[in-house]
Amino acid sequence: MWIPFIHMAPHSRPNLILLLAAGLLLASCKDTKIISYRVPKEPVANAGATPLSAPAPVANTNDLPPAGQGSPAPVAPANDALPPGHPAIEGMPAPGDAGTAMASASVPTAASQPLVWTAPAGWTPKNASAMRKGSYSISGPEGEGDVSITAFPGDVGGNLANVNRWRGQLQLPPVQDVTTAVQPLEANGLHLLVFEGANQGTRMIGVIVPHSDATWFFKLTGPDALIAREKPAFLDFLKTVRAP
Amino acid sequence: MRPLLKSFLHFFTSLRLTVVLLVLSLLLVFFATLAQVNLGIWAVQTKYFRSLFVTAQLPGTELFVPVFPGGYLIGGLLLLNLGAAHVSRLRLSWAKSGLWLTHFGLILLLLGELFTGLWQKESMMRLDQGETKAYSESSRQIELAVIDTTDPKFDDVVAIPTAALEQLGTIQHPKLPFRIHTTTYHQNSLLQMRRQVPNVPPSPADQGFGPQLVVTPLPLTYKQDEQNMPTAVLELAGADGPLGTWLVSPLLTEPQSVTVQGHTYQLLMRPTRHYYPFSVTLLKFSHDRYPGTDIPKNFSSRVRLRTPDASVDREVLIYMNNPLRYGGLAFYQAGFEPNDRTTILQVVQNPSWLLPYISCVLMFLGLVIQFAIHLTRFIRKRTAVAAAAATA
Repeated sequence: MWIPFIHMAPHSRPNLILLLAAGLLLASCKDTKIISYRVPKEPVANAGATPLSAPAPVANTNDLPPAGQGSPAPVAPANDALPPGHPAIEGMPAPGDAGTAMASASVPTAASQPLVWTAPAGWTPKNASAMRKGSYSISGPEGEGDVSITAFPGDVGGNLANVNRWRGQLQLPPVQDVTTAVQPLEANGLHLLVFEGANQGTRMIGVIVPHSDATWFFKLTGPDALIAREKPAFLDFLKTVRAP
Repeated sequence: MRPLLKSFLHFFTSLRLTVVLLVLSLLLVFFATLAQVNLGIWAVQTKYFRSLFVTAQLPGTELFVPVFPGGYLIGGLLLLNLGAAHVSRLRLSWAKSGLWLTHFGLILLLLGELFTGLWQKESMMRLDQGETKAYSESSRQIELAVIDTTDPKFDDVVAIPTAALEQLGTIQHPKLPFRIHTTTYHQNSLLQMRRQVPNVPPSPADQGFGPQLVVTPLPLTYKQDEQNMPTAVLELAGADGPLGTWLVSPLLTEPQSVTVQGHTYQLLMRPTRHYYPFSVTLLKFSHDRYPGTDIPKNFSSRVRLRTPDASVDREVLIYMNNPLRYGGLAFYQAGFEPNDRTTILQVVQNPSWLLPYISCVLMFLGLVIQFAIHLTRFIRKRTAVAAAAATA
């Protein structure tokens, strides 16, 4: 039997393996094959490249500072030149984000039934993130305070769990009874529960607002003195929160 | 045996080769794991495991040189090593049947990974509640779909992979009454409205959305949560001359139209679609949480599987680790949208998916048999010794 291997010098054996595996290489080449097919028309709502059509940025009036308060308005994407209904081009999230991986499964934010509010003039709006419905910073000689507004579907574990979560953030021990830990507050038909805590120079005012099938959280945190001074303004701000 | 053949066999049957290859594969896994930081999992798989050699660019040149054996080379040599050792050393006998089975299982496992690398296709099917789809979409590959929408009931699609556009040539397809010439192609890019970017040269495109947009090429991204957004500038020319220049990108989700010879064609760059001879409807997506918390407990999608001739029409519950298997495809619960009404199913086509299971069973059986053979031999020997001692 003729065996090709024996005619090769020992040092050229890897070349032989290369040859043997050339087929594998070919198989992994980039596919440039053009195909054609006929498919039934899709319903209009379903047309277009769904996974890449990231949702158009939701118009959130809360991100715009109230008119007449002097803060510069965020620049809205000028997409009026595109056809109606086309998502904004600039700042569009990467389509890889389209669809939440299971890893981030615990942070879906509530989308239905928004709330609106009017922020005090002295607060500086920050960009709302995927998690935050609204975000402001408050500056003072004592440092910087942060206002975050978030919303999640359901009751997010219940009031006690939320209060104890905040207490944990302040490194305070958990409480057993939520009623003694929060103050109720009524605003525009909404039932607010206000929690306040301070520890080691940090103060937090957290507000739980059940609304529709979601729970909204308004949270003010920062240096103790700044937050104590800002508290009346924050309580006034809470009274502006309403369902549109 | 001739000496060269003998040395060749000796090389490939040596246990030393096995050890060297196993050490190399350990190192390969180690370096590939580190490389994931910069390259992401997909690029690492291609570069380190589904290649013959891991290559590196010579500084200052465009030349890539092999620096380490890749997964295919190490795996292939291991396979050769195992096969050669078997043929030359192990005789086919009952006494060795356990070893044969174990090694055969191992060979099958190696082959299974090779076939998976070559044949496995993964894509995504994203369904809103109540939505029906007969196709899935690639999460990494993009195509240019030229869709003849003239027929009121059907769309005639010519799907051109971006790899074909990348070559910047002219594409002429028998189903299209025009040629498509790609003048510019960026593998990753950013689109901005022209008026937001002052002082840029005029757009090469003169049709569709192109004239209003500015393209900025971006470096390729390897991050897992980002996707490359290609952009191409296409010149279309029919029998009667040029039809215009279009800018296409998956960032443009609305199609752009061109009418030629009474037919309307839509140009749409989109994730590559794979159509199937059946449809899947999402009946309900459930996102169960542990009581009193927001911690996810279970995700499931109740879907309806249907073929056009209604020979198959059934409801299936897809949940974690419990995929729907149909028509050579597996539909896994892979993700969802924050609205809790949209499910994302991963569609995996892998003709060799059973091989790892079979090989594991074979290896298990082989080891059990081998152990049993040794055990019985040992017991027999001991009884013989005991009997001899008793009679002595």
